[in-house]
Amino acid sequence: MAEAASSSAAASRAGVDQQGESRSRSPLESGKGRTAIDDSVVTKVASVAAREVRGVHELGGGVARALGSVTQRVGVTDEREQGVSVEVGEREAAVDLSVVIDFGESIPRVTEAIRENVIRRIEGITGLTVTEVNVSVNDLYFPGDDRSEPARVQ
Amino acid sequence: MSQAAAPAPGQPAHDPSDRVRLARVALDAAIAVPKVVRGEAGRDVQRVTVDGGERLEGVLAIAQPDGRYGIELRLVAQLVPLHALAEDVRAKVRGAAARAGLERSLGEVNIEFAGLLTAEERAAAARAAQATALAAQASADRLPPNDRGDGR
Repeated sequence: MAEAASSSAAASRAGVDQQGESRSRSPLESGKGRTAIDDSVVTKVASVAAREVRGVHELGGGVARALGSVTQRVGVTDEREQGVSVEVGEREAAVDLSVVIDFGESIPRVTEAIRENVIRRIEGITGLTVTEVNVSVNDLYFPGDDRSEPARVQ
Repeated sequence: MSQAAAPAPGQPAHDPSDRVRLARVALDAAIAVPKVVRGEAGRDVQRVTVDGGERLEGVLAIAQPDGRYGIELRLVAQLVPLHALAEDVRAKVRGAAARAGLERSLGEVNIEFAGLLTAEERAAAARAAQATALAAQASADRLPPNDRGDGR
């Protein structure tokens, strides 16, 4: 159950930030200093942007969510980093997302909306150009999935 | 562990260098900019300046070949356009350095955004800080008067 557009991600992102020595000045540079954006900033923006889209129930695959719930309890990771992987260069960024979508939503519509919103938010907030957003749909959420089954014996 | 010698009578307790003064002025100016949350030292390459025993987290002043000091700031901000925020921070740092008489010592101001805080995270942090303060207050109220350390 996956709409994964990431098969050639590694190959295509080799071009991230390799525009040669004659590249123009980054929008993050000015005559008075340089501005750098940490990977965790791009990760958080991508996560927030993906969650803003209607139909996205949760980020992360099954294993990531299971591990995430444990690591969050011991304070090792931030929930918002779950299911988001980024590569950030000086001027460009590439994003991989894995998501759980609400049952009944159109997967193509939701994934396209995620892509648009992630690009808009990252470019607007960080000034980086987003070269690709790969979305992997790992699961569907059915209302009632969170309810634990009643015990069969008392 | 070395211990600083006590200042001579009539001398100020602590007379920071231009580098340290510039670091403090830059960090204070940056944190005063709306939408900047705090400075952050970082893990691998720490941006920390020590001023008379106080750690200024998120700022380094580095000597440049031209004799000036470049400022490296590492900041946590709110979820806003960061390029514009960086320009605002730079302008405020330059203004503060000028007011402190350090304009000639200030080189370029480089800014790294280390993290972002969403509105809900800020609210949660404020609630946690309030709970900690209340707990500390309650704990102090329970102590007998002799243990409060206030001489009463």
